[in-house]
Amino acid sequence: MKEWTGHVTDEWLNAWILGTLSATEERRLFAHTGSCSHCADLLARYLEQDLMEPPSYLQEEILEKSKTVRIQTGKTMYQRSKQLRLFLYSLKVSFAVAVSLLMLFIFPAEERTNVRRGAHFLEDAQETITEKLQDSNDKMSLLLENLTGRLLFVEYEEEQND
Amino acid sequence: MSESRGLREEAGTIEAEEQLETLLTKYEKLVYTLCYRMTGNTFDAQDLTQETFLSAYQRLSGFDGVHERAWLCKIAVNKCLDHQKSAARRLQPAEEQTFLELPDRKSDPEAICLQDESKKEVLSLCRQLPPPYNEIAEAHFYEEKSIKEIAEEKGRNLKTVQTQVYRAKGLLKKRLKGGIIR
Repeated sequence: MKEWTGHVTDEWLNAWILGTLSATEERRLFAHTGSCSHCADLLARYLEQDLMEPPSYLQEEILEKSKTVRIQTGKTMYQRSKQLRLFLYSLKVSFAVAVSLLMLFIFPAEERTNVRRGAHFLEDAQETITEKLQDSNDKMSLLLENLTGRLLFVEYEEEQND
Repeated sequence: MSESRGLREEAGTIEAEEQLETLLTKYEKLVYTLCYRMTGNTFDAQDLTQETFLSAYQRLSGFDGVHERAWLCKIAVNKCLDHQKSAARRLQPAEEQTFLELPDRKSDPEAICLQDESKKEVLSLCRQLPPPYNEIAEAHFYEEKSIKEIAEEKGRNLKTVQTQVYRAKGLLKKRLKGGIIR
């Protein structure tokens, strides 16, 4: 099996033309080429060395078919879907801008004050929590000091008795 | 307003048609060669070439104009892959033979040899069809006459000849067993 380096190489193309690629290798080659512009261009340049002649009626047939209702409808639908996607995107951006402006200018001053108060409340709450934590920390330190002291006293007494 | 919009759309359509013609002039041989190499027979190659250019035509408005050749080749490759997947599904349980059944290119490395062999095969297949499809098929697929020319020559209605060509192609493809040469 040929080593796949992530892109098409001349080695792979030669093997394909000679028919020595396995089914899996061929699938890999074209699955990648179908999505990679660089490799598609490489394939094109390779094939251009030996082009085949299509039937003379083919071009006319394609041009005729392009004028049919089915093809024209498909073309219009593709354009419309692009326009629709662009429109929906613009709508989303406009909505976000409108909401921001609404919040800035339409909310009354009192409500803005309430918002500020809410922010202060949060700040105060934050301070209280910090103080409480500090307080608890101090109590824990005192408790540990007492415990250490008692343990040391017990050891001293035991030494004395010995 | 609607009139000016209609005029704009018409102008856009004419421009798109001109672009399609330009693409065909530049890349028809390339796309046909690619489709033939991937499918192994002229009928599928013709259909897929047509599908490639029509798909490109529909998507022209979304194309940025850069790497035209690569863009077309990618469309062609994906069309061929889709075709092979659906052909493989139709030919079950011979799925794995989809790629293995392509013509032995070792014996025909030159594109001209490949084409000569293909033409001989086409003629042989056309002659095997029942009348009136045999003469229509030979005139169109082997002698490469347009449908209009055949209709004028034989003094038949254009739509009738179109239908006969379409049916003849279907019969030829069936004979080629789903577009894969065996």
